[in-house]
Amino acid sequence: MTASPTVRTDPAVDPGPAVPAGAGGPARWRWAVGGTLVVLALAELLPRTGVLPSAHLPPLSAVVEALVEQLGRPSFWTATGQTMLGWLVGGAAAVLAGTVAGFLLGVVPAVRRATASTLDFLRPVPAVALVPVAILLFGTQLESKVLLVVWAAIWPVLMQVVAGLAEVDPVARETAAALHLSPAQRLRHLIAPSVLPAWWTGLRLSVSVALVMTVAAELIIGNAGLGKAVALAQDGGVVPQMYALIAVTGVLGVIADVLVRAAERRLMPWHVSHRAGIGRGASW
Amino acid sequence: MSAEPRPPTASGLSLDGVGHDYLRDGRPVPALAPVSLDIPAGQFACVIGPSGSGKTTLVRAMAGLLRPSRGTVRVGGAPVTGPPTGLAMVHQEYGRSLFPWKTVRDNVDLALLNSGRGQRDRRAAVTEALHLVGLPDVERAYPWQLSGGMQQRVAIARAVVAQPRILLMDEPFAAVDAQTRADLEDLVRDLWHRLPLTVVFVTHDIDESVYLGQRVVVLGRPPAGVRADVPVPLPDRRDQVTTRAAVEFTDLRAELYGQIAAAKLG
Amino acid sequence: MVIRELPSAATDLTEGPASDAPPRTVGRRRLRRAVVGTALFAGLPAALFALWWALSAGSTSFFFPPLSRIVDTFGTTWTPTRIGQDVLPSLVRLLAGFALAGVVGIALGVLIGSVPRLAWALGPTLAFLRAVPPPLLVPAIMLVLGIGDGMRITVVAVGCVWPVLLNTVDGVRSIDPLARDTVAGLHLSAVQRLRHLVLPAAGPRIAAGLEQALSLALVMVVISEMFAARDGLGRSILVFSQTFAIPAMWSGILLLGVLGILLAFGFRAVQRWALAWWFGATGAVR
Repeated sequence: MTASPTVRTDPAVDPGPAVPAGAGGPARWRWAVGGTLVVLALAELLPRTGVLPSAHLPPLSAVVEALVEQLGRPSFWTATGQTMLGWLVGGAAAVLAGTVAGFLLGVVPAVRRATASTLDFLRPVPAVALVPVAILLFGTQLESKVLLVVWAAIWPVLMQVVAGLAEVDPVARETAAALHLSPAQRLRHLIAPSVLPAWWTGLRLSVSVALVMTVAAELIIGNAGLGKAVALAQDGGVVPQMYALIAVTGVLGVIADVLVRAAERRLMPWHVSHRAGIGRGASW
Repeated sequence: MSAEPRPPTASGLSLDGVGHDYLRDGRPVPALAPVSLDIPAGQFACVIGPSGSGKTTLVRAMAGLLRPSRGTVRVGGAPVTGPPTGLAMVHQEYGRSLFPWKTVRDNVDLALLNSGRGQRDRRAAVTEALHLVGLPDVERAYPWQLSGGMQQRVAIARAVVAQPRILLMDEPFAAVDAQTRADLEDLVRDLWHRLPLTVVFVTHDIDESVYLGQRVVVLGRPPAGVRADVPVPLPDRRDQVTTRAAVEFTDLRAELYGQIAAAKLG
Repeated sequence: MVIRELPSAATDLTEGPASDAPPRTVGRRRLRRAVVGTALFAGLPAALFALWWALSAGSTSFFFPPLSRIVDTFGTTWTPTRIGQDVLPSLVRLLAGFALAGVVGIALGVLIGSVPRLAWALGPTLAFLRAVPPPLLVPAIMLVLGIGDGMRITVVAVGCVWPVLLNTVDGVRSIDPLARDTVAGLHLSAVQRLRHLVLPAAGPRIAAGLEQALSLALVMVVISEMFAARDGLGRSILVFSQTFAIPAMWSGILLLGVLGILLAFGFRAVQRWALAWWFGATGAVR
């Protein structure tokens, strides 16, 4: 993205600057463990010593205690299951629809140009604008949650597929033409592999956006799930429990990200991190 | 930093057993075998060697960008511990060393930011430097609007604008076409004549090294250090046609080809 | 790739003196290009709007009133007084929170991006905090700060800081080592390095982070108004739907959509101005 990535022509010639290298080795792990321990200790000590108001920001141990207590309750697991269901259904629908729509809109350059402005107009419309409609149509059923999730999570995949299609190497296109590949063969051997990395980036963003919108819907609309449980805990003044539930949602997000990245490494070992962090399409 | 006042002339450069290893998987791999060299003030010295001989490592050590594992670099007698003042460097990849967010003028002016000189004075110096490298009319352009050869001229202008005493050039013309390259070679010779400069010019091109230098140093791959160090017996006035056709030129070229071939074999 | 889909600024910069065609043809060609461009830009949105208008014209559905009625209601609902009471405060909170997130995110991002050990030490914590869905912070922040502008601005800022922070870290880390070498030889101070190298070099990535943050800011402001309902655009829309004022509700949804579009387009205009060099440079390379 910047002028040029950090390509060094011959690593044997140029050992590079004398900062600790990217690998970092054991030093990196020591710093990670040490830093995390310090953060955890602060989360315990600052509320305990009264630097932070412990009534509203309870010490870590109290949150952990509440978490352990939650883990023993069936209602917690029900709520987690409901959130995961909305996340999964909404996310899958968004990824599927985004992929199909992205191909339909992106594969023909003329169609791509004609629809670009429409996408630019629709994308910034925030999913929360649809909250009243979702309530009117579906109340607090699963569908209202899914509606919001699909609207928000469709964009990353859709935009990445369109952008990926626009970037299929013209030389590769000419090569395919010269080899007399059929349209199906082109899709299989040229277009799909070229679009795959961008699609995956979109997928990763969509998955995280889907979780965000799932709990947002539960919070505002009141669909059953972790978001609603957080709202109830806040309403009931069970503060440590509220933070425990928030932390669980964060853990769900981390697990999903780790799984998607692990799958990425297996599926596309040639392309990991090449497109890291391209944020286009991450609207809500 | 040395305490004695430096004369307003070129500075010399000396290397005493400078060698470097880098770490790969925790094990040291030799990148540059120990090199001892003395480049007197005002000399035009070329360094050639096969890939893997540590040319870039050597230049980076001279520029104070890399602390060598062994030995000492001295500039004007003072040991180098960081980028020394009075030393400027031109890289091969002009596209990456010029900042795309700055105009040509601001890119050159970057070298004067800490000169303590006033705005107007700096502006005049920038204009003069751009004239010197043959680019009088592009001050307001951005580097990416210029051709590769012009970009490299801007990089050279930035190197000389702060009146350095030593100019290091790391394969500066490897990425431009042949005609542009010839023009840039003559530009560097011309600058060296006009300014009080010691030039260390690293290249992989034997012809270029003979055409430009007063002396050619041949590096070998580790464990070999300096394989040869030969004076160039050509007259001071050189031009692309007659110099390259001179018997001394072709003889020296043949000799260096032999040296490089031997260096490649190890 | 982030900004690829925009019409490139490069064409304007690199063209110009090069063209040797007679001026008349150039004028005509430019006119034709402008017409085609406008048609491509406005054609489909206009057609879709017309389609909506036509299809909904005879609608008797309670939930989906004719577009003509929504447009009528828009005028009567969003009067200047109401905009001053409900929309402006929302916008001010949004921009204040966004600005706060921008400043904090860039400052922390530059720091973390420049100090590898800090990045290692904070890596796991940041990975976790980023994964917490920002809307869930609304109840927590409300608990600490109560219901007020301070809470809403904080909600927006805390929610939007992550994309800015993480993109800045990446941007600073991926600064070309050669550019760092170049600057190392120039003996610049830390502030000069920041101004002449780090911020401009990381600029495109920072802008990508800010763009994500801005769209998230609108969501966070509306969520905070819907969850802790006291005033603001979010609450109005929710009240319309709860009182079954359906055309007014749709007009509110339209207004939110328009706001999102205006913010996105406004951001891009600023971005193209501030990063003109980048659009030029990347366009020229391609």
